[in-house]
Amino acid sequence: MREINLMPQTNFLVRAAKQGDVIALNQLVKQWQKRIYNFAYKYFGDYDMAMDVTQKTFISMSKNLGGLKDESSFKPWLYRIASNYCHEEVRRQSKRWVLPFMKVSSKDDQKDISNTSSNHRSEDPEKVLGNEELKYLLKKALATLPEEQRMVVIMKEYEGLKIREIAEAMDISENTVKSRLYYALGSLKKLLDQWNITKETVHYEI
Amino acid sequence: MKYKPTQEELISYLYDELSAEEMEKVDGYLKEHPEAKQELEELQETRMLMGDFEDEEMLEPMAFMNPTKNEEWLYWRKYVAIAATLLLIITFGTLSGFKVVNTDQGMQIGFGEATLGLTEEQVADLIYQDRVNLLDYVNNTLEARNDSIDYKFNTLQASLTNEDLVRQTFENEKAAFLQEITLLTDKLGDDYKGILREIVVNFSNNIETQRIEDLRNIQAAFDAFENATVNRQLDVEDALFTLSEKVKTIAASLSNRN
Repeated sequence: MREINLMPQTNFLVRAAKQGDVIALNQLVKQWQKRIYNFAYKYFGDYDMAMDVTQKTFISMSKNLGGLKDESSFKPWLYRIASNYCHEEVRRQSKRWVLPFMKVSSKDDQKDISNTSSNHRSEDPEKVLGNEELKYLLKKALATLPEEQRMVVIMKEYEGLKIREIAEAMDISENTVKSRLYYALGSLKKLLDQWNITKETVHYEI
Repeated sequence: MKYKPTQEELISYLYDELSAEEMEKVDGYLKEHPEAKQELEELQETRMLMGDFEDEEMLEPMAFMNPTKNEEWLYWRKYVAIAATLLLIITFGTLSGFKVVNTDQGMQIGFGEATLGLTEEQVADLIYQDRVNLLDYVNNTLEARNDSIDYKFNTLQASLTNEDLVRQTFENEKAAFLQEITLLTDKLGDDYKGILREIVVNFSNNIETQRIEDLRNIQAAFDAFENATVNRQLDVEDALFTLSEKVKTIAASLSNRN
């Protein structure tokens, strides 16, 4: 979508970086760090974890770029690294049994959200949701999705990967990608309806 | 058979990832099936709403790797290091006059001017000479020792045969010894008597005091016993008195009642 043609010179940079050009490598990091960071941030909803994954991803990228055969598949390749680190992070957190705490707190958060949103409705049903508020709710909505669906949605909706590229990055079939997207969108729609977030309540400024 | 797009095809349609031909097919189907169209539109709206989750700015962008400007130098550094080491070795070798010479007798390594060593015969001569010297020295020393021992032995024998001298020495020694013994016995005799007397006196004194002490103790025990007996008697008398009082009272009360 938005990011498809953002980096037209990526192939060129990748080729140069593969041959050991440090400036090209730096340029690649500069171009892609915001994307990878946001990808991880949407996945975790947590600044530190996202930063951690971003750093690991680029360290791994600079180490393993030489092994990338086809420059044009750099994007799915990069996201594959990032998503692997995301999974690893989740595994590590669950081993550290921090996750149960986070789950508890997120349940409370959920309650807060429903409370606040319902309060809003009773006060002023027509009230337009604030930007920050909306962002917060959307983050929560994403967090409710199962991991594999969340990953696919983020890659598709925010990172603009083609379905084929997602399949490549996640090492699954294109049909699996599509059905995950389908179910994820369905769940999100239900949730947004439930929280009364529609195009009427979201104010679009031109 | 009527065409019905699969879930997967609908998703591809939603994301605009179908070929033109397939797109047309789905379009046609959607025109005939408004409920399917409705569903897709709703999903589209969800996508649009979710799209409002905008990117975050990174609080601290990643550190970049510094481009190494003198990569040429880095590449050659290894060889330069080797060359420098060789130069260093050569310089020091020259300064210290290190030399390696190859002759018929083998390789010679040394600092400064290399001098030829001794031949085998020369070395053998040297060793032989040394041996002869050593043997002479040992012989001479041994003879000298022999002579001196003989002389000393003779002297000793001469002094032994002189009987008077021996006897006199013996007598002297004997006298000194006897005197010492006498002194020792005198001293011992005096001391011993004094100590013994003191011990006997002390012993008798101790016995005396012990006896007096014991007698006192016995006396005190007897006193205590006497006191106790008297007290006991008084108690018994008191008790008898009280008993008789009580008996009287009871007898009185009994007679009253009667």
